Amino acid sequence: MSFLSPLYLVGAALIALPIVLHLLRRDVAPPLPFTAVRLLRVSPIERSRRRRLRDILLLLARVAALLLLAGSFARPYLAGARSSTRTTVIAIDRSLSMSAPGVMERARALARQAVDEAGADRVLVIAFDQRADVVAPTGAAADARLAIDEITPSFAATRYASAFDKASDLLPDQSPGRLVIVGDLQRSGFDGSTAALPQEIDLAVRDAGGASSNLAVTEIRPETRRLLATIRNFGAAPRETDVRLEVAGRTEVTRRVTVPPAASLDVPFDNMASRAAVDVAVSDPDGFSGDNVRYALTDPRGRPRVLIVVGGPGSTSGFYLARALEAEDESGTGFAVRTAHGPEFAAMTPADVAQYSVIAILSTHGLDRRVRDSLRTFLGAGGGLLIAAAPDVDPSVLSTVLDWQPALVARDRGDAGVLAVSDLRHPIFRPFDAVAANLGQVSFQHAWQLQPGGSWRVIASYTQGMPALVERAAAQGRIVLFTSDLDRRWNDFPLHPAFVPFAQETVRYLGARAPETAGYLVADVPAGVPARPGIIQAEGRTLAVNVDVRESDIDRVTPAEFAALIARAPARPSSQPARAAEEAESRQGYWRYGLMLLLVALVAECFVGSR
Amino acid sequence: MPATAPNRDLRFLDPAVIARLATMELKARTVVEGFLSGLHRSPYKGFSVEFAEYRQYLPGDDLSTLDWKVYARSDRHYVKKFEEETNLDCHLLLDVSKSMTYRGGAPTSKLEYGSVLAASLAYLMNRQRDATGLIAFDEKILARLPASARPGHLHAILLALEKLSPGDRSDVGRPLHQLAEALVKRSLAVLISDLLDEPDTVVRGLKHLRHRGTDVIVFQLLDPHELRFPFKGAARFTDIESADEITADPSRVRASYLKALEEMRAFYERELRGVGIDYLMLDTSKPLDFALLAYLDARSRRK
Repeated sequence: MSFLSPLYLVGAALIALPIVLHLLRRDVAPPLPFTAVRLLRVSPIERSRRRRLRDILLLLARVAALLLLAGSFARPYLAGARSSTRTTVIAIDRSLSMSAPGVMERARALARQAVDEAGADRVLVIAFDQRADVVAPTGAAADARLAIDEITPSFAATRYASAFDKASDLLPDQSPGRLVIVGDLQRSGFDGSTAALPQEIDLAVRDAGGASSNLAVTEIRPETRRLLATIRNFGAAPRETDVRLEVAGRTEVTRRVTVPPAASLDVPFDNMASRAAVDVAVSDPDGFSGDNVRYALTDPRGRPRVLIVVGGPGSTSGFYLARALEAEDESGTGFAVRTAHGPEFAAMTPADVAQYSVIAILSTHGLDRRVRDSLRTFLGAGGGLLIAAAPDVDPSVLSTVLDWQPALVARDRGDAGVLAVSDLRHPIFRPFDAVAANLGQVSFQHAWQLQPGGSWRVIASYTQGMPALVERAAAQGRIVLFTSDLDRRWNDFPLHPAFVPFAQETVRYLGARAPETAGYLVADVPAGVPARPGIIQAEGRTLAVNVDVRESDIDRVTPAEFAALIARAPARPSSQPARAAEEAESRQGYWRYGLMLLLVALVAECFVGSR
Repeated sequence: MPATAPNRDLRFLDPAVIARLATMELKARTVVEGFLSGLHRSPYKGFSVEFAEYRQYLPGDDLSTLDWKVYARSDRHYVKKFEEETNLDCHLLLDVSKSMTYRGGAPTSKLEYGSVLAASLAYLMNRQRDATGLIAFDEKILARLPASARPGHLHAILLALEKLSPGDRSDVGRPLHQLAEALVKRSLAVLISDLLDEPDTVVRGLKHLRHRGTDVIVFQLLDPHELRFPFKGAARFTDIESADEITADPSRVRASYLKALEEMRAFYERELRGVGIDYLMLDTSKPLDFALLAYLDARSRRK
């Protein structure tokens, strides 16, 4: 018998109290002076004997109650009971590599065989890839077999350390334990992690076999005007295969290629760089199914997506701005631009709007109160808003949808002059360099003259003194207001060389939010995102989720090598005995019986005491 | 004539109040006068001073006894001769053993109660010109005042009662035998004791006294706790005199105790009444004039 909290046993010393009281007050009858004592000589002896018996019973009941109380709080358990039965943990590999033809079936058969071999052992079944889960807790063998049959390959990579850690947690300390690993013994399962197993746990390795060859799409790289897909042949023989580029599930291009053994091949797909989300697939019936397709976003979040809001249908507004933003720089990365009419923008949900980094409002036609919620969410998330004055931009509408207090008041003013940059160190104008001087050649026939007020900061002005480019913060985002037209109606700015860098730098400045990751491995997807490969829309974002390419490697180890690669820890961590003891105590729950007996003792004490 | 117009304030004067009064004489007067006023024109007159005869005056007689009315009528000198006031000697035998000091549920101890009873009787006797004496005893006679009817004798008795100190173990029979041997004329002996002694010994002593021609009245004083044994919870009952101890649970021994007490009382009553001894058991929590009433009642019946 052991105790989980032995310190409580100190409380058992309290039994000394009733014993001492019993000894000190053996004759509890107080002296009472009296006269007619001679008349009392009737039955005192019999009475005294009965009283002594009652006192002893009371003493026993009280001592028992105190002992049971202390013992129950100390939470007793039978340590010896744990060693009577061995526990066998059967760990089945469910990683992507187990999707090779026939491998999972063989693994299930081996696992069932391990259940049979366990005999009288308690059997636990866990399934592991990058993490391990108990699929059949300790119970009947039939339940274990049923759970084994339901294990299917996942898309995650193999990590043996997860199985070892789980087994160490599950196997009680100081009792015989056995771990049976069933899988394809993929070598990459040891990659990047230390697989260690406590020395007292017996290890058995069951090889379910593996694939002899495997083709995998390991990478999709967007380059200038093309996409480059990397196909790797993990097998020992050359493989000929079709490589398909698909957009939204529809095959756009198919290439027939031959991949040398144990080598990679880059397959280019021209004129496909503008596709937002693509996947590249190969045909590989003999290898792992999960790595035959790879998904990519060719327009990742690092390349700002710009929504240009223009007037009604048929409007040519936004043409110059869109062209300027789509112009590629030296790195070949421009902006993803979409033009939407006012009503179309108003119909967008906040989630739709959140996909864009920058919104340029060139017209307020068709905007209503619905836009206010979208823009509030958009700016609250750090989005950037570019507003350009134009004949069809109404300052009062802007003030309404943007909750500006006080409202924006602006009136047209002719002959504004040329642009004069107030601060060339501003991020918008810093990269101008040689074309900075070109800004002075742009003549602005019309512009808004803003009423003083608001919290605008002037970035550039006209030579006539009116602010030309102003900005203000809005929640976590930023608003830049250009007080003249970007559609060549109030000026000829779009025709000047400075227009393209002006537009791009302004949008880049506004979209300078922290870049968000758009590509994930299956094991690393954020919470709420399904752990499967594909192009996934989640919380207003588009994510490309792929399998870990290390899992595509078919290199395997033998059972002997497997055992040799495992570090055998000499002893369990110190926390293990305590946890095992806690589990044993929790399983046995003797304290409940102790408290029930305590109740019985107290009832007996009351009964005897009242006699 | 029945007792009428009782002075209730005095008639039912609580012994506790009496016990708080300053002196024994005052206590006795309080009790007796309260009793007498309560028995206004009562038939229980008790011993009265009786006129005996006239005789011719002889030189040397006290002139105060000369009956001048007779001289006026007959021109002869006669003196009034009263019957000797010492025709009855009353001996008050008060047990002062340790057991008499017990006070349980009563406001006074048995000894205090007995002292007041003795003082009251002495006061009453004195008013009736009877000679009264006092004997205080435990296992032996501790103090003795011979019977006398002198007016100052009452004061001596009361003083002796006030100065009484508790004795040791009681042996009621022994002083009774001593008194029986000492008495030479018709007397009245009043025994005031709890009689918690060997009943046979007590009865033998009383019978000895009775056989000597002495009228005997026995007042057995018992405390309410002795009468009812109301104790709760086991206790080690320690005898005040002998220090004997008995551990007992009152709830278990109460019945047997009361039965033994009743048997003892029945024994006394049976044995004493049989030889013409009045036996009265008094509860010390009851007013004391009950005791006097009982006393006079007994005497009248004896008459």
